[in-house]
Amino acid sequence: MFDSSPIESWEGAGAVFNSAGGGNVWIWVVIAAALCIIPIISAIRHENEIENKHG
Amino acid sequence: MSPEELRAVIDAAANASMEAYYWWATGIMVCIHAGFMMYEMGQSRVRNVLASGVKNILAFAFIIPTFFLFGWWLYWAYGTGNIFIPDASAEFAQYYVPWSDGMGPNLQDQASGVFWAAFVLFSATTASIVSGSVIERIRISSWIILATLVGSVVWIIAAGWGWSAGGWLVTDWGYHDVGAAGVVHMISGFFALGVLINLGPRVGRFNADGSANDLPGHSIPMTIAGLMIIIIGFFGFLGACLLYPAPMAGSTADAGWLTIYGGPATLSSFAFNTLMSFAGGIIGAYFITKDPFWMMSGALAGIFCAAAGLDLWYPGTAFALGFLGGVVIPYAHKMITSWGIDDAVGAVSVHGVCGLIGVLAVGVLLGGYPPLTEGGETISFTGQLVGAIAMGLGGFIPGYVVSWILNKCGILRTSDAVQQIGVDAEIPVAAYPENMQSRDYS
Repeated sequence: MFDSSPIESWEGAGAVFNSAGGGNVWIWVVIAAALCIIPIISAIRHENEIENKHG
Repeated sequence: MSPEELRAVIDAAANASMEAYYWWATGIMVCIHAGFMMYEMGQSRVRNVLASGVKNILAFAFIIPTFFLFGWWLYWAYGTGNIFIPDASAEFAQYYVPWSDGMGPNLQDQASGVFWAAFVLFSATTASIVSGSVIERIRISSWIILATLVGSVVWIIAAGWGWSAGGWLVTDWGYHDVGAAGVVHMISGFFALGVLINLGPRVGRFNADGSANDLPGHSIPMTIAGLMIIIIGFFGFLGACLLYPAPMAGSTADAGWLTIYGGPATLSSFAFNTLMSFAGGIIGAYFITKDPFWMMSGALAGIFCAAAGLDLWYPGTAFALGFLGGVVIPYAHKMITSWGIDDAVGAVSVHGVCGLIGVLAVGVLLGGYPPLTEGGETISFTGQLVGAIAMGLGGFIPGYVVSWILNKCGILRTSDAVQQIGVDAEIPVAAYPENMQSRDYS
């Protein structure tokens, strides 16, 4: 995770993002997906609180 | 300089130009969302203003990562002729899985990031189109789900079908829709219709006898200014519907501008017809209503009525189509309202109906243009009709089904009690601290 450079030289380099071509990219894909889902759950809970308060 | 070195210089210049073109087109397209936000907030009553704005901002924000995670992949997986099942083996579908070398900074690939970005903005536009119709009573959580669905799944599958050289509508039916009248506007308009049926009207919109009450927004000037800003954004949108590839290797010929289908076009043709249809829409709506809301909606409607054939219309034809769009929208909106459907901004009329007109107009007036590929189909009314049916159902069915499920789960609609005090009750700050009051329409 801390040593994530996919290249050893800039000469002829292609993908240069952290963890390119390695298994760690999956971790970021899963984190990104979770960071989309969790706020939706938070929104539902917040709305339910407002509905209960005023309904 | 050797021919090879000259070739490398030309390629580098062409790639940098292309990258810059789509970067700035994407930036201009952000105006679509700034405009929609103003438009929807202006159309909201004081007690709902910020909820409408938050809803619009969140749609934009959620579509970006979800389009990264699966939307862009869907486009390529449906662009090889499949209708229902994505083709995961397609070359570019494999290249655009979110963990591939093509989906991040790559010094050998100057195209993927800017094309992805342009498509993200197309996607966010589809959600913004639906967004206005559901203001003042949809729950934000459900809205995020529906926005993600239309922006990162539904429209992009339709784009694979009909906005890609390898899509089944293009190869089998000669479907022609360069400016996305069907794949963006029909899909979004009919998706909105499906959602509105389950969402129901705002409190106070209809009387017991079925007659409708007007629920005017709190700022018509904000609405009109927002609509004009949307128009600015659509210049970026339509500009990004064209491609300018580098000259082909081994050839000195410049391919020039190409449509999304790879057919020849010019940016000038888009300029002629976008402006003429824009003007036609305003004048048509003024002729019928004299109402600035409908005049600016007419500007959009005019562009959408001409969008499918922006590369081929005579500008006078584009003007007439735009005029037709401006005339049609208030009547179409009135008809939809008479069905008991509360579309707060007329999105079904402006985008759904005018997108339909645009797709069918190509079939009626542009039949017989030669196919883009050997063995392909010419433009025809039948092909455009099949495309229109695919776009209408492709938008309506997912919108209806998923909103029905959300409704059954009890998270689609804000309760009547919260609507009475205002949906801004869910927002921790006030829109207008001077305690500007909203009329009670209940």
